[in-house]
Amino acid sequence: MKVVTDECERLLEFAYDELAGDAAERFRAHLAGCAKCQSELDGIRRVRGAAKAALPAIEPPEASSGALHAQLLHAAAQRRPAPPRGKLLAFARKVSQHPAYAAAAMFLLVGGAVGIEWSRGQLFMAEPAQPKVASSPSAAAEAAPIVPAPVEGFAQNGTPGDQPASAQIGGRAGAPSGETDLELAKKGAVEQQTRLYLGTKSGERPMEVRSAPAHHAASGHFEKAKDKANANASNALADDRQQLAAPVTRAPRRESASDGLVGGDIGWNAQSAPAATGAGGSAPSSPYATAPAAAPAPPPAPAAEPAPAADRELQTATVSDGKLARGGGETLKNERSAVAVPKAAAPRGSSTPEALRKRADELANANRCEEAVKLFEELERSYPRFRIAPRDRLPYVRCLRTTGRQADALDELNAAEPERARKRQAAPQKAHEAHTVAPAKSSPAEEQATAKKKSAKPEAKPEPAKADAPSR
Amino acid sequence: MRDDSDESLMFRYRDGDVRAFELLVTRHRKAVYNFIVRFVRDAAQAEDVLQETFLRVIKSADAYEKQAKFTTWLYTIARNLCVDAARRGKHRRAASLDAPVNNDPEAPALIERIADAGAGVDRQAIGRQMALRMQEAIAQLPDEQREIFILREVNDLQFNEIADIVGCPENTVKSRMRYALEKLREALEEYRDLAQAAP
Repeated sequence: MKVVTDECERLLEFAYDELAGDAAERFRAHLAGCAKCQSELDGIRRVRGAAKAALPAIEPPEASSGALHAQLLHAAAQRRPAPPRGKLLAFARKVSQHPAYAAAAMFLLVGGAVGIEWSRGQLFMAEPAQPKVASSPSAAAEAAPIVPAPVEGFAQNGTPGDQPASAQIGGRAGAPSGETDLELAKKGAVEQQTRLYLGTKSGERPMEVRSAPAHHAASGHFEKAKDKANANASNALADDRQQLAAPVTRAPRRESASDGLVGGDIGWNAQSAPAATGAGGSAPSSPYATAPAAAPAPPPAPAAEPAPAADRELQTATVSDGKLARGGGETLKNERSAVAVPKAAAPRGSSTPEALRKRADELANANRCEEAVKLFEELERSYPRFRIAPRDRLPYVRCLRTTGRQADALDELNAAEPERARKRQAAPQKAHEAHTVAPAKSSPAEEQATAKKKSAKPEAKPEPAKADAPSR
Repeated sequence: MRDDSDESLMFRYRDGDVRAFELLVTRHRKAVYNFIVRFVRDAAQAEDVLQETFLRVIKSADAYEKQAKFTTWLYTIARNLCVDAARRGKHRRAASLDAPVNNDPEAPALIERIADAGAGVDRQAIGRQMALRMQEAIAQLPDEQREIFILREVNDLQFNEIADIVGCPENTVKSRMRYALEKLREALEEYRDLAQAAP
């Protein structure tokens, strides 16, 4: 059995003289008593002796060594010592020479450029194909009032008139034959927005508003400008419709075709209901509902009657001679806010009729009934189409009684009674349906009567663009 | 300058002193050539590898830092080039020390250049046989054992330096060295009595 100690492991180092003094002495002491190590050491020494004889030192060839030496010296002399380098420069050099860093830098550059272009609105991604959605005629009718005269520049790139309505938006301006009011309205909205972008009215370019359509139009790409402006116009029409719906479409309490206060709950689409019912169909329940391609034009706009003071103020602010009386630098956002009639024309510094009503509520609750009644009356005068829910009218009725106007209070209660009765009977689900579909369910006879009534007494809200429509 | 260490000479050359590099070449050219020629077993190939080794030193002079001995760095370069040459398989044939040096028919054989003026004729004959047997045994060693044996016996490098050059632990180097010595001892077994009997 072999016994290998730690000292035996040092045999190789001892044979090659790599052991230090103390370690070498210890191994010598071990070697004196270890026959195995003695035998192996003899073998190593024999091999080393033979290797010295078998592996003599070889001189490099003299003939080639001179040339080799000269070549090496020449190469060494050709090398120029590198200039002293700092750690920062060395890091920069390392970064610039590394392929991964170079790729990352390229990615950042390209991505940054794309991001900047995207943020400027000058880069358009391909949009997925969407079904052509036509706005409801009522939306067109609402958008029509703010349509100024068409821009001649767009007429050169028009599409044929036999295309669908959604494709005719870019049709030739000034050629109304074959175009519905919806098309004209959308076209007008597109052109108006483009003019706002381009500042064609004032001849100035609105730099702060210059967006994608303006960019395309300025660069001569009118087709792209029209497409982009068309998309913006659709969004703008939808927004404006939502803003206008509540205050505009709610008929005055006393002038409603139904029983007074009930008409106020019709909903946003009440104004579009006559047009839809006139076509023999039901009114769309959503502002984004697809209108039929052959939808008839809405009834012709009647002559505008004197509008309420607030509306007249807004008209004066927005329209002048059928065109926008606004500098080219105003934004589309400002344009939309101006279209929202009640918000822009609230008296006494109040922003909305709702705020006035709340103020009147507060006065009534504070037993300042005289002021509350005055405010309620002023609210009804300034916003004849603003509907106050029966529950919200209770403080008004209470104040009327408090101030001794019992007859007026009784009238208010009587006026609110039918709706309250109907609400008590109707289930919430049916009530919701009544909000959206009720106008469409009216019989043709009732519709005719309503149309006659409206033609005899046009809507309170004037529509200056409709008045301007024949000039197109 | 002649008494300067290899490292200081290398630093001087890095700073532009070509004379320092010339001294380095003069010091190590022979030893490096011996290692290379034992490794690749071809004189012409050894010259090419030797030239390439010093050219690498020139090219890498700017990156040289005193992290190890200059010789360790130099032999690492040479060894890597030898491994590359061996992998290319251009010169796989076993070198014979009986063949004329540099393929020159008039030149003496490599084994004849071993000087042993004091030995007798019999001893010279036995020594030649033993040397031939030893060369054959060395040539038959695996590459990883042969390179360690050559670096230890021919270039007289310590085991820790060899470990740095070949890139493996020192104990592995010693283990390979023990295997190489054992094989060579067995190969020389038959000549032991002749060597002891020689006058």
